Amino acid sequence: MAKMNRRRFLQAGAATSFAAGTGVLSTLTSGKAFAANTSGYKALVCIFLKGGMDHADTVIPRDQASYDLLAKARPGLFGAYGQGGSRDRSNLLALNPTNAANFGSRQYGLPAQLAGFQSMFEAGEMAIVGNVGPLIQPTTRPDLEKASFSVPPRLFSHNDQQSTWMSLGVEGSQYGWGGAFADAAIRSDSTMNPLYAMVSAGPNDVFLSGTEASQFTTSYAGAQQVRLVDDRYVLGGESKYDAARRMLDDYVAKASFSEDNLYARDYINQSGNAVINNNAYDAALTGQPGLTATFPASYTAQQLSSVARTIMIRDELNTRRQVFYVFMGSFDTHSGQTGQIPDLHTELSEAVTAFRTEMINQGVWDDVTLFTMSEFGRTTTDNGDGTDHGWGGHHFVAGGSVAGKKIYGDIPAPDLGADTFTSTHGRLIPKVSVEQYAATLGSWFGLDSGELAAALPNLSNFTEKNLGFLI
Amino acid sequence: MKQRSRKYVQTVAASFVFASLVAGCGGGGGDGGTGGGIDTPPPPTTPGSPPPPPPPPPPPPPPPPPPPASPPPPPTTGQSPTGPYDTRIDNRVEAQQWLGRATFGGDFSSIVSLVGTDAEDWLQAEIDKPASLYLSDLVARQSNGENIDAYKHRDVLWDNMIAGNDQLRTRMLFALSQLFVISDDPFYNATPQVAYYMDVLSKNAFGNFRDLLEEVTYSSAMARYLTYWRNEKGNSNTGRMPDENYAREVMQLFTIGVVELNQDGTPKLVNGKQVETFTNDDVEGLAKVFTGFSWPGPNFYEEQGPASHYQRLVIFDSMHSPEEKRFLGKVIPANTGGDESVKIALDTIFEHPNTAPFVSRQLIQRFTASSPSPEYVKRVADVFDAGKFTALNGRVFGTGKRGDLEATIAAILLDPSVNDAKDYESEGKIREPVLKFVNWARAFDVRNIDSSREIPLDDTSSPSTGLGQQPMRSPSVFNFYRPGYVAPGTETGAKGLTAPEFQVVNQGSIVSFMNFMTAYIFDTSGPADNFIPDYSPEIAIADDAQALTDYLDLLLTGRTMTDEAKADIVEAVSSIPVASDSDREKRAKLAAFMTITSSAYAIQR
Repeated sequence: MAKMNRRRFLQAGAATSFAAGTGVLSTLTSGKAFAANTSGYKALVCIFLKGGMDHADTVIPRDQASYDLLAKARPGLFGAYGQGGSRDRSNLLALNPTNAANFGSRQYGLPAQLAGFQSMFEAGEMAIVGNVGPLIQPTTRPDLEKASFSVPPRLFSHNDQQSTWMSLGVEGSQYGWGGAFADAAIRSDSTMNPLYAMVSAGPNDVFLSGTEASQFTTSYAGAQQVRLVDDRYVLGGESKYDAARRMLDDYVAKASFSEDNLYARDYINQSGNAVINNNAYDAALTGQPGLTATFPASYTAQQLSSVARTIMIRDELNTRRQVFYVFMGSFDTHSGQTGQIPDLHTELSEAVTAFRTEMINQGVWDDVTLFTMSEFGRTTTDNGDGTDHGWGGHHFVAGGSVAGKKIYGDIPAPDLGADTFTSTHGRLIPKVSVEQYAATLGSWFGLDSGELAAALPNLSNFTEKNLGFLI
Repeated sequence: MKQRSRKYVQTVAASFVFASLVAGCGGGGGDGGTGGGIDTPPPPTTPGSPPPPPPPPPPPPPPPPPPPASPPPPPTTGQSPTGPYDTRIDNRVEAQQWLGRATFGGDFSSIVSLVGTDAEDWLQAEIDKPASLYLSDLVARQSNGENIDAYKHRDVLWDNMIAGNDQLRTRMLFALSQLFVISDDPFYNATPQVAYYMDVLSKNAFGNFRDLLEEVTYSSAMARYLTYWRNEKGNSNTGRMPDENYAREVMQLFTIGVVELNQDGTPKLVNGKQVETFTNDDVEGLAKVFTGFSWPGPNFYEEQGPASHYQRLVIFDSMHSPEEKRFLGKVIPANTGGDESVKIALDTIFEHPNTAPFVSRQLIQRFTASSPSPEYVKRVADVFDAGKFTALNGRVFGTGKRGDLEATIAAILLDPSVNDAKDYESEGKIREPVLKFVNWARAFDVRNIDSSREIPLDDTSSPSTGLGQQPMRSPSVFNFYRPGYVAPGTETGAKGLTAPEFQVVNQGSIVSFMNFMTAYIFDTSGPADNFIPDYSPEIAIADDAQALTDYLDLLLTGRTMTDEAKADIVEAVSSIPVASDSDREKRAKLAAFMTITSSAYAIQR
């Protein structure tokens, strides 16, 4: 009984909050027409590789000349991997892009731990976007010598570049472009439930922070329930405790009290809405079949299984556009890199492979685009047994709508004297800006050029606004 | 201190709040830090020793209202924001709030016994207490054959936070561990190394920041976490460069931050733009300093037995970069030795004008205010620089040497803005989940505290099954949350108020917090004879739901619960018929749960 009461109460509460929204941006947006295409269903799934993924130990040059240059710059790492190891040239899994001609004699491969990625690439379901990073405008090495030339602030700093990738501003930024994309969809179609348009399976990062709705967090165990309400034996199985449990049920779902203190008001809002939204999510999940793919036990895979479960109940949640956020840590390989990166690759590849299978089983692989982000690539030179903070890096995009088996952007040869690198330690100067990368994803998601320009403030500085990796 | 009744503050809020709200504060930098060497180390005590015998149960009736009229405050020695205040703790609300800020929270008897005392005296007594140390006890247990590998330092720290006598020092340790962040997770044989590190923080908690910075730098736990342990000098033949990890983070996160700051913690603007404190060239130059560190032993790659793991690191000059080192405008000449290079480097960083506001603001955030006003930051930063704080009654805290942490913490806790309601709307500190849990244990005089027998306490870091926070186990060197975090889509966010703790206290973790606390409040968390809360004071008044609710409102929130929330608790509690003490205990537990999940408990005021 308690549960039924609560659900009814919750639905009423949810309807109210739809209408009210959070209102923060309403003054900025009122009066404008919103054009985002919200037909069908589409989901963007971001996997953020925190710590700064070493791109050069991930997409590895396979032609002899480039390979030798990399080995020369990284004697410590190549020595540790050893001959016959996964970074031995002969053991690299070949990438055969259909646009190989763009790269002349340069060839690329993936390490064996990314076998799932290589299969997807070769099957045309995955693309690689080379040398992506935060930029204000197209940038070359000579530009960096000019005092007046603008580059994003606080380069090479983890938290600031994580924030920049997610929100195009340094730490402290309040709104992410994942949130902006979801906002655009919600403004176009007010019948969609904004509560589940942005779902994090991991931490509460700025990427999914929008103005129309706050992000919903799900755990791989499903939505959490308040145990003292749901498990009657905690308070006591006898009926004399039923009334207290019912009242408690209402109490924990209250999202406001007459608090004067702003922090307390924010807290009760978060607390009440956590209960309300979890209950509605849980109700939507009730009676649904389980996932059919087998997800590995890794944290990354379990987050992706949460994403898959949420996609499965998209109709029950009344949503047609969703942005998901998944995170994976430990990429800050200053030391012991050769003992860490291979395992991270295995975890990533196996998790995404399971997710692909599940999406195909659900019949939505064409409607889902998964992509990687990471705050920076790393130095081409090593420091003995690791690498340090860089700038540009290479990224993966996967899904049934990806124009795959191609490499977009560029993956320059590791010639440290070349203008594609900063003057020290071989840090890649990005060729593709994060905003071009995001704009390509956003176009597919349904945003029009005006909405993209609003979400991505420096996009206008780049001529190519769609890199073409999604159709 | 001035009575902070709701009525009073609402009046104040109505007339001042809107005019005085300061947008922003601080920006993205972050502050924090502390430390300090000690001249005469106090004798160590063993942490986790049994708590003092439980106090006699408080009298059943709810505490009477605060004394009607405080004696007139003594003359003040400085300008305070809203008029005169004093440091005397006049009533139970003030006592509860003081203990919430300066300790891990109080039980009823400690609240009662604080009334009528002076906070300055309390502070001095707390500073004079011997420091709890952690390593020697663990090593002794190890030599008796106990396996201490399984992160046993976490258990002794939980035990000491809950039952230790040196509460302020331990709060300082926890605060400092969130500035000089390590995580016990990633390295082998972490326990004794982290225990050594906890000792560094504990010993230096009221010492000097410069000494603390040095001891942190020479600690194995930090060197391994930020990967300069056995970091070799560069090699120009192979192109190998020194690891840059610590060089960057010691500046960015531990001392000066990424942009130049005013003394009040706000970013300096030049032509409307922030000014970065260092470039990547500075990082590369400073990276050469942090080379050659290793465990003591016959050579760089060989330690002298396992005990070397928890000794101060040494620098092998043969592995230390002999090159010239340039950073922050400083040049260390070629062929300067390792220890000398580190000394020059740390002096240079410490002397940077950012250090005072950067560290002060973060320490304030750990104790009293999630979004301290620039004026408050400046008052504390000035004390950090002066190394001395003179309290209202003339008592002097600190040595007069820049970076004195005793003076700094005194300035933080005795600041007029904390002890005198001014800006009710934006004041307060979002309680960290760890503080909420430990405060529960202390408020209910939990007995038989052996955290090693509590499986949930082995790791409380999960936001979906735990607290979303585990001491000594941050998810990254960026701590559990960032000092400049502004929570999107919130009312505090709309005002530009920073809210670091909301990064872990949010929709994704709050239900888990409720369930974690349920297991403890209802005592189903671990072995039945362990972590036993004492509900006898509550049982004694449980027949009167209003009295029970009022009692918990004082004990846990300093009487800041809304009337609405209290009415809900009274109603729910009243619905349980009382035929036995078992029912009364159910009432007590339900009321405790509802209070601890309230917005009033969430925000320390």
